[in-house]
Amino acid sequence: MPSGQDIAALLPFLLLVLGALVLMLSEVFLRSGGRGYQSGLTIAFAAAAALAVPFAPQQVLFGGQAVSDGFAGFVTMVVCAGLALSALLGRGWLETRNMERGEYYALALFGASGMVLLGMATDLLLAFIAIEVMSLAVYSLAAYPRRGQRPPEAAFKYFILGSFASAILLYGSALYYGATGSTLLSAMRGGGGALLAAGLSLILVGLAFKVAAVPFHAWTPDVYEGAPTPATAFMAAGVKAAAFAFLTRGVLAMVAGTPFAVGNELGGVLGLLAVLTMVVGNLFALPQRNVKRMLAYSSIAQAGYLLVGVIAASRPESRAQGTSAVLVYLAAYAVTVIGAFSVLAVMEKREPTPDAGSADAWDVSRFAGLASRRPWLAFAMAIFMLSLAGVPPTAGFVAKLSVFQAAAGAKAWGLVVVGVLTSIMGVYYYLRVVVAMYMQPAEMEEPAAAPPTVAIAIAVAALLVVVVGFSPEPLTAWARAALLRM
Amino acid sequence: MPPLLDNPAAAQSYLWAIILLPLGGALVNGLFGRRLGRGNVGLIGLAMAGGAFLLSCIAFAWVAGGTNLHFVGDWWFRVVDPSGRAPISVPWGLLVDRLSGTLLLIVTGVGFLIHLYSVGYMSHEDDAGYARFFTYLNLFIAAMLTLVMGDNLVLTFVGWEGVGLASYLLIGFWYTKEENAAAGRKAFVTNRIGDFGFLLGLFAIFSIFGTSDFGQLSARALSLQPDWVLTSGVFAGWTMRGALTFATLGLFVGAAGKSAQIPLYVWLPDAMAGPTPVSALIHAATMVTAGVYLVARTNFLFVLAPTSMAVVTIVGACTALLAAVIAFAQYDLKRVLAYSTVSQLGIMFIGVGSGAYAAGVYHLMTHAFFKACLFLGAGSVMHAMHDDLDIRNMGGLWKKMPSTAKTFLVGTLAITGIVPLSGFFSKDAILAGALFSHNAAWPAVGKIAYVIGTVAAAGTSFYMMRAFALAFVGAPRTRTAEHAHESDWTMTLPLWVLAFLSVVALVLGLPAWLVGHHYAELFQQFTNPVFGRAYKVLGIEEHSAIWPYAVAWVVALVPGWLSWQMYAGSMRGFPDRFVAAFPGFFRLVADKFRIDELYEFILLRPVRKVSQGLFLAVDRFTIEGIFVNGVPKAVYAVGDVLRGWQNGNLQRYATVIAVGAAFILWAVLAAGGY
Repeated sequence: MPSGQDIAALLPFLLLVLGALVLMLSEVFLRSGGRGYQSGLTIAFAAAAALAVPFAPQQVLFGGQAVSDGFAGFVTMVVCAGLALSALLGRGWLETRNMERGEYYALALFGASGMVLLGMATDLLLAFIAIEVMSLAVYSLAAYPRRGQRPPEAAFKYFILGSFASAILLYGSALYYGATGSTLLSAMRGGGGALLAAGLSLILVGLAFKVAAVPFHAWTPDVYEGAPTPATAFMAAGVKAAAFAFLTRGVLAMVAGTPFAVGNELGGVLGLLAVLTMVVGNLFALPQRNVKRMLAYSSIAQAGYLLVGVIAASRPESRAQGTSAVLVYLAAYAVTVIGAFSVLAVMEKREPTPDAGSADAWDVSRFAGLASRRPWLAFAMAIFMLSLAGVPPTAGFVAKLSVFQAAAGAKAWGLVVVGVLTSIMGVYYYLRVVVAMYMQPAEMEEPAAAPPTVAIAIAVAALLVVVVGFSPEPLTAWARAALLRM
Repeated sequence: MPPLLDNPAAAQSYLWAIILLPLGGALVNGLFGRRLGRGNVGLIGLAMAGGAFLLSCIAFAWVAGGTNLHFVGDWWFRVVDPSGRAPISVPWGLLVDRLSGTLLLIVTGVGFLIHLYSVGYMSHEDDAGYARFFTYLNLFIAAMLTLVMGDNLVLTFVGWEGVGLASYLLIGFWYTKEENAAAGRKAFVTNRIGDFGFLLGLFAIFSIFGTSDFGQLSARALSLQPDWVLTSGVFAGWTMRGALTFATLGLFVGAAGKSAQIPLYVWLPDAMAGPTPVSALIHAATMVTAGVYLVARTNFLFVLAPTSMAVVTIVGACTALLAAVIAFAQYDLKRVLAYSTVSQLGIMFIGVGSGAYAAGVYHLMTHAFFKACLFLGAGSVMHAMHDDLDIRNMGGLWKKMPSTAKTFLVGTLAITGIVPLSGFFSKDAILAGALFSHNAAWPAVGKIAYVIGTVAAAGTSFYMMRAFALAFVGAPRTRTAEHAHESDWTMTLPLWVLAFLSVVALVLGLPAWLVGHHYAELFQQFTNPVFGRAYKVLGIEEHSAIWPYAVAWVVALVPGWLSWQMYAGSMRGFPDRFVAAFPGFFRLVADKFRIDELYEFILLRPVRKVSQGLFLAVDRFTIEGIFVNGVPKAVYAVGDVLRGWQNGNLQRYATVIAVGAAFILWAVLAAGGY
């Protein structure tokens, strides 16, 4: 029987689940066509979950399978912020396409609850459940519009490949159990040998799929492009944050426990993945004229930089620095990418089905001359692009700086060099959008005005990006404080 | 009593408002100026400058009462090393002490008057241009205040760059004319060279002290021994004196760029392409004195590096003389004033270089008053003369433009240093300070600077009187001059205020033998809390010699009288005969010693050659050939290979995942030796 303490510690998660149930029921009892309150309700639950975080006691849960600590709290906050912003975005996007239903928000809330649980998990079995809760919701969100060919195709691909990755993860967990006799991350202390090494490798593969690290990234562009834009934004921000949270926890447990050799080899593999991810993600983004696909490759590239942070966290001399850098990066990326997708959502071609115009629905030429017609929208997009490129004074710069600083602290100079060089490569394709907006004459028809909720999401995201860029201290201090309670 | 006047903590918390007011004005005018209408634009610009002035007065009242205001800011950024220490941390802190407080009043006060003047002066602009002008002007004020009030070198540098930007924008304000845009670029590029020196100095200071906070720096600098050898950082193995010499010379390169000293002075005369209020505010009264301020602000570092002080002194002296000589042969009224500004800045550097800090800053202040007055007078003349600034085409404006002429005369007498105007006391204090200074690295430098400075002062007296006589006295030499008329009150009022200030500022610098110790050198006494310790380090004592004053008086009067005789009196014709006798020399001077051409030959042309070569090798071949065209080709080639994988085919994707997983398994197990 869970105690009151346990419930308080789980409260953010429980609130999100409750919200999902309420939203599902709301559809049943709906009388009139008015659904305007649904997004509001979603945001309210997200806010309630976020507000519950400071009150959650630091506590080991489910007999050691989960923990509510500062790290989990930070991840919960990021997920809730992502959920609230993408609900704002979803409201405007769905309403203008006449697709707004309670299921959408319910699925998002379920997904968020999985993410929050994943942030708390310290056990492979619980993590698997959390990943499935999160993933099933996200698969469905990708398929949400149903009309047309693209969303179902994207969702189906995502589902099949995701299941494949889950199977690998599960197999790794089984091997892990065989080696250590437990599924707890802390059990690594006891085991060793080939079985554990193989188990950990396969678990790493499964997680690498979720964070979209090369060569397990192939699904990302197709899924990101095919899914409805608000769902893509939520995916990019939330799934990445949750998966990286668990990956970081796993790596920290690994270096604390495994025989040195295994940790070392896995560290080498992680480094290889990081380099591959940074190089390939940026290389593929380079020729993209389709902004949505470019953002998908960019999300792969960003996973590479995050992996650099994880590697720094795995070295004893830069553990705290690396872990807090990962947290800062996740927060900065979540806000930036939702902002970018929100602008994209305003700009995309509004056919009855998103796939009708196929690729040119998101062509960069749609952004041409935006600065003269919608100066604020263009300005916000420029902020997001600069943040993704890591140009000061934006949150993205703060994030990149802290990750590279941590890697430098770990004396991982090779990773820093590759990271900086590929970041420069990134500037090229991010600035292409800015150049189109500010330096090219308008070609397309007047873009439609942003729905008010989307405008709010964009404004909030842009403001956060700039404020963190100018004054990063609160965020970095918060990330450092989160580690102290870990 | 409002808490602002009552409680220093409250006053401190308002310091940022002094900067944010004009910054807000710049934002509003910049974003909405076109739609607001020119009346509102001018009003916003004026109100923000005026508000900043009022708040500055309150801050100054505190400082004058003996309480320094220090806003201890939050971290702006910090660099954390792996052990968790923050070797570099930069706060948003502001400091108003008696030095920055004085500058604060000058910047906002003169700034406000020039805003007022601009309302009339810029009235011929269209609405967009008018809004743009006030946007830039407010932006300049905000940046300059950041420079002055920042409590650390980094924040000062932020302001430093900000004023550079504003100056660039305003010099090229009428950017459709190619030469104006070129002048803006020249100013910007020349300043970048100086900024590079500033940055070197800044980084050196971080390396030596680990901070750039003025308070901490001064505390540490005054407790250290110059012979200490540094053990860590970039300067490991250097003595403290050597490292500080490097750092301060770097700062001085920055100061030389911003304050137009040899060899970086060439941008300032060309900067006269900007609107005249800009010349008055930025290129005479405030921004160009930033270098002097920087040296005075970091006095505690300079006093430990006598070599740097000698360099500052001698560069200042040479600049003062060179610019004064060039000014002899200029016919463009604004150019005469520009070279005179360069020359006067040189005099200020003699002051801060030889340890006469109070005198240097005092001259900065009086110069701000009379030079702004002169420039605004020139602007008024320019209006009346339909933008013709050649003094040969003027004459007889005394009767046509009485207010302008009278205030211009006051300014001329003040800059000449004729008793009893303020310029006399401030300039004399500097020269006397140099004469009685001791520099450990080069003992004679003070005396050399005294001689050169005195000659330059004599020159100043001559060419200023020449400009005044040619422009205002005698008969009109052209029809435009005949039909000239006085300007609007918004333009003449600032002239009168500035002329008044040029006179009354003298009460701050009266010598002891004249008024007794209690009222002597008020400004010196006032700034003692800032500079007192530096004086002690340098071993500067008060002097009570009278003869330097007598020399200075003669130096001011005789050339001025000669000049008057030559251009307005009985010796008319002599200058022409002189020019006829030494045509080559005159041409050389009129061409500004062809320094620009020299730079063109020894610097720009080789740089251009090298950049042309680099352009072909790096840009055309490497970047365009390999990166821009080559990389995409390579990427597309790679893409073609990889496209087989990224083709949306599910089985293919799954295969990649499986192969990747297999590779990782193999890598871990094989490399792990299992």
